[in-house]
Amino acid sequence: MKSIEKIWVRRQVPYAFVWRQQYVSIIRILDYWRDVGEWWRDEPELWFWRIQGQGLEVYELACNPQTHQWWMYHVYD
Amino acid sequence: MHSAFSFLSGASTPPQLVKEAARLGIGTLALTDTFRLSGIPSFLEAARDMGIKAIVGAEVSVENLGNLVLLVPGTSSYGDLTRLLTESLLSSPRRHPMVRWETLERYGHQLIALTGDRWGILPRLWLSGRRTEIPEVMSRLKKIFGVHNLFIELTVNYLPGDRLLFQFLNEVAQSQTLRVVATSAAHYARKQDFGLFDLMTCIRTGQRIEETSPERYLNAENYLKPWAEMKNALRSWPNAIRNTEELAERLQTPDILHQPHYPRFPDVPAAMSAPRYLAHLVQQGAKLRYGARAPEIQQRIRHELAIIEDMGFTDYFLVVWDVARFARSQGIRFAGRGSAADSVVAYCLYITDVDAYERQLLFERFMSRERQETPDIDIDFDALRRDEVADYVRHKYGVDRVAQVATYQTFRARSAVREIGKALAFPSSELDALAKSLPERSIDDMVEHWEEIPELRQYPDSERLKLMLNWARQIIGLPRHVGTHLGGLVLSRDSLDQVSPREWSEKGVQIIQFDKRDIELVGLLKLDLLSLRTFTAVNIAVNALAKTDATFSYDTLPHYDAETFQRLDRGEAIGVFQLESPAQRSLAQRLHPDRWEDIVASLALIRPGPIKGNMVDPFIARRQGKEPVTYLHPDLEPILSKTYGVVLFQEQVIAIASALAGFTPGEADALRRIMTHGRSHVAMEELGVQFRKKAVGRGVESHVAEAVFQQIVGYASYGFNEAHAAAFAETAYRTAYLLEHHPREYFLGLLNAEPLGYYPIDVLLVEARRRGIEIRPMDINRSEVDVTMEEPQALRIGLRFLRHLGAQVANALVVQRPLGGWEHPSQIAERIQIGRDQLQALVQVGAFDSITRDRDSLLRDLSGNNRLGLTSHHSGHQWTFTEQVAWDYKTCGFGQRQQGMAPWRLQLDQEGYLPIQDVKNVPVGQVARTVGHLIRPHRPPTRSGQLVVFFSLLDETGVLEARLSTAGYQKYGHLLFGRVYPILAVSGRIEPQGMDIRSIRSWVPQKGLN
Repeated sequence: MKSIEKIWVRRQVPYAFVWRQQYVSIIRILDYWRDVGEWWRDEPELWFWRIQGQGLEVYELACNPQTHQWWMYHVYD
Repeated sequence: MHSAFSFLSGASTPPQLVKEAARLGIGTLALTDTFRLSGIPSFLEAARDMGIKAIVGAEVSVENLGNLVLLVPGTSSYGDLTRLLTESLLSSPRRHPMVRWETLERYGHQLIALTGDRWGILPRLWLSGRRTEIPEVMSRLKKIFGVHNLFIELTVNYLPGDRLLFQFLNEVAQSQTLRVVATSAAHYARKQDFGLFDLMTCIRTGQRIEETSPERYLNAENYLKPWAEMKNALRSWPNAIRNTEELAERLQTPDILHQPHYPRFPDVPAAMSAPRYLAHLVQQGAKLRYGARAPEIQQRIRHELAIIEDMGFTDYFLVVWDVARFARSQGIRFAGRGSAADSVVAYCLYITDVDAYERQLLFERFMSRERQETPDIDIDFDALRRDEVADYVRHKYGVDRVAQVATYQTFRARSAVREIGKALAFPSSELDALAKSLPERSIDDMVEHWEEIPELRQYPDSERLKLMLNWARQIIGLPRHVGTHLGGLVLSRDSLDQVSPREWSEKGVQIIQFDKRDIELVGLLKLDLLSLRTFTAVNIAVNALAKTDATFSYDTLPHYDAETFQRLDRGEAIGVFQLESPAQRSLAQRLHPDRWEDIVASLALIRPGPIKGNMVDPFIARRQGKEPVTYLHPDLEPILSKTYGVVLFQEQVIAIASALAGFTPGEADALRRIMTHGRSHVAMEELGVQFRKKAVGRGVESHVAEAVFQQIVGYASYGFNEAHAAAFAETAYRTAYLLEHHPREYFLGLLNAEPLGYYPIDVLLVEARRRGIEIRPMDINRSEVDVTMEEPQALRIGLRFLRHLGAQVANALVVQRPLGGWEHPSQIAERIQIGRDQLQALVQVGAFDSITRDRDSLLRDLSGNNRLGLTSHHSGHQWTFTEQVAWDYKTCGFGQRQQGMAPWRLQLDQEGYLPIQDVKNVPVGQVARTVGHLIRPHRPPTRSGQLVVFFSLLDETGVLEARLSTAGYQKYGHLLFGRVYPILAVSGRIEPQGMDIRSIRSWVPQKGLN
């Protein structure tokens, strides 16, 4: 997963971010889930958003709610 | 929500869930364990205490479709849920319960149904692509529950696909005119409990933590969520929140606790009431028990009967009388035990054999108006025949009104380590060794003092083990699965279906879903039909004796027999009921029992309380006249004289509070119970003030009242129930008598009643040989199924004692034995169903030795050309005595020819080790060395609180009791606990009751020296 350069969040919900130097405005949240991963190896819980950008492209973002780090988990072409 | 009573699908107990809900400000909570109401009583109690509205329910699986959550809207429909669960559980395979549509149709009309979480009926159909079935399923559900009682569930678990699923569920709700509701489908109280829950899931599915499966949960979101979070998560579906609040308002807590369902005795004569009939039976019994003295006890009888009637237990006593009468009529040996023996009524009804009047036992220790608890009447029956009694009860009182009580097998330290360790992928051999080495202390304590515990510090990589133990600690105490309380039968006035679901137990009997604590909460009465293998042993011995001595009467043995007491005095009581443990035998050697009361006192003295409370030595000193017997007040003398001024029994605490402070006996028992259980400093202070005030008011001097109070505070928690001690003393004394005068018959009984008692069979065989009884080995043509007597003074080991043979095959070997006897293993294989490994074991144990001593040839015949390497010798080789004994241990677990050390006596002599019998003759204070088999190492509580190890060593000459100091334990503990080598060489200082060990090492025999 690659870190997201910049992201804007309101009440823990993302509404825009910069990806590969492009500003992406989130027009729709398609899905949201949480995943504990391999907790026994001290992996942190991650929160995932499947969102649609202004160009109708679909991304999956991941966030560590403890550290507020954000990553690009998946990009749907 | 699910609790730990969903067995490995819930990680919190109902009280933990309720406590967390209270913290979060949740006002209404529904417990819906899978096919189970077991958690409901503790849930209702906890919720009542915390001011939370408790909703009763259960989650069920509907045929092969998915789950449905069923809720009880109020008291009147509680029975519908129990009946629905009973019908489903009794008609499904035991581990795979399922509700059929017909059952739902029969009992569902008054219940509320929710369509469940991802495992629910509706999401399952949608997610598994069976969407075309949804209209029909919804139509059926609507028909059963109606639109007002059927809800579609939106579960806030933050799973992938939730948005689409919720959208779909809302569409279904709209199209079917149903309402959606919000749930959190909690399986644990707090988010941080997820790790434990996930490990439990691994245990349930039998997988390792690294493995994946659909059963594992993706996230840690199945905890109790604050309502604000639920609202936030479902802000796009506000109707779900509104509907849930309305439903919570509508549902009511069913009123099911403390509603008596006591049984009715059906055979009360028409012209009599139940109380009159009970009084009549008691009077009849009183005449037989007391003869001319019967008038003397009338007041006591009236007193007891009045309390029994007032508390509504008349029919219960009649039922117990009926059960005892049935057992007697069938010749089934039994004896009442426990506090029921405090009752003269129970004595007159021949339920117990302790004369409570003669011993001045207080009825209020058993039951009182002040103690609003159901009485427990425990009866021990011959283990082999207890089921006959249970069958009688079921038949007479109705199968729908009688069921066995459940027990919850909870995780303990060892099982927790094994199962959590397995889930965390620890090797099974490492877990086995670790589990066996765990000392009797809390895991927290073990982790904290790791380096001070020799059997733990031997393990490398302690940090990894400590991590695992930390998880194991969290699971300890949680229920693992349901079991059967073998002796506990509940009897209900009406069908049990109104109170609890019934299900099949592993044993194939019907059990209710509540354990012994909870049945009292739901108003059921329990009958304890316990099984006592000692009675089986006694019965076998008495039957054997009857063949040679028609005059012998076990039940009327005199209470004084000098030789029996001398045997106890010598500490030679191995095999005696309750008096055979090393601690009891050591006590006897110091106490020198020579009267009945010594036995009663002994049974009460060897308990953790008196040992820790330093009561034993003062008692012995007073009993032997080495210390004066004094009383703090003259009124205490009649109460304490039988225990030499020492408060030993619970009944004495009650009597003291009554005599000195004027408490009613019921109040005094309440005082005793607070002293025993609620020992907070403040509570004690309050009790002390109350006691002193009352005593001084009755003319007792203040300092005396204070001193007496301190005495009973000191002993109240240690005190033992005198009635119970007296009841057990009967059997203890009588079995000692049998051991002294009829050892062959008694050992016959003990061996055939195994497993029982403190020591393993090997010890019993050594003791039998010491008493001049020849032990003859298993023989294919001479042995029966059980151990049998042979002349002149011998016992023959039975075929069922061969491991893995089983009673059924043993029986076939005896029943189908040809007239001329079996001649060869292959002949057996032709005639009966027996495995080749079983035949090989019969050869290896020497069962064919009377036909041929060439065991190798027989093994070769069975295995064909030694393919399995079962023998390395040529034909004609005869196994040495050492080999024979070694195979005895491998195939039976004990030395049927001789104890395992016997073949090595020459080597042991050469190395300077004494036989155990000779060690006992070494003067006290001198050092001796010996070698023996390690038996029962344990670390009991000690007076000083230090960790001391006790163990026994066995050789062919006897048993040696050994004690290892704290320092010695640090040095040698790893040789005693865990995966240990079973033969130890020890040296130590001789003490009056055994050996104070100074050094220990493993002892390995050298081939060629035997």
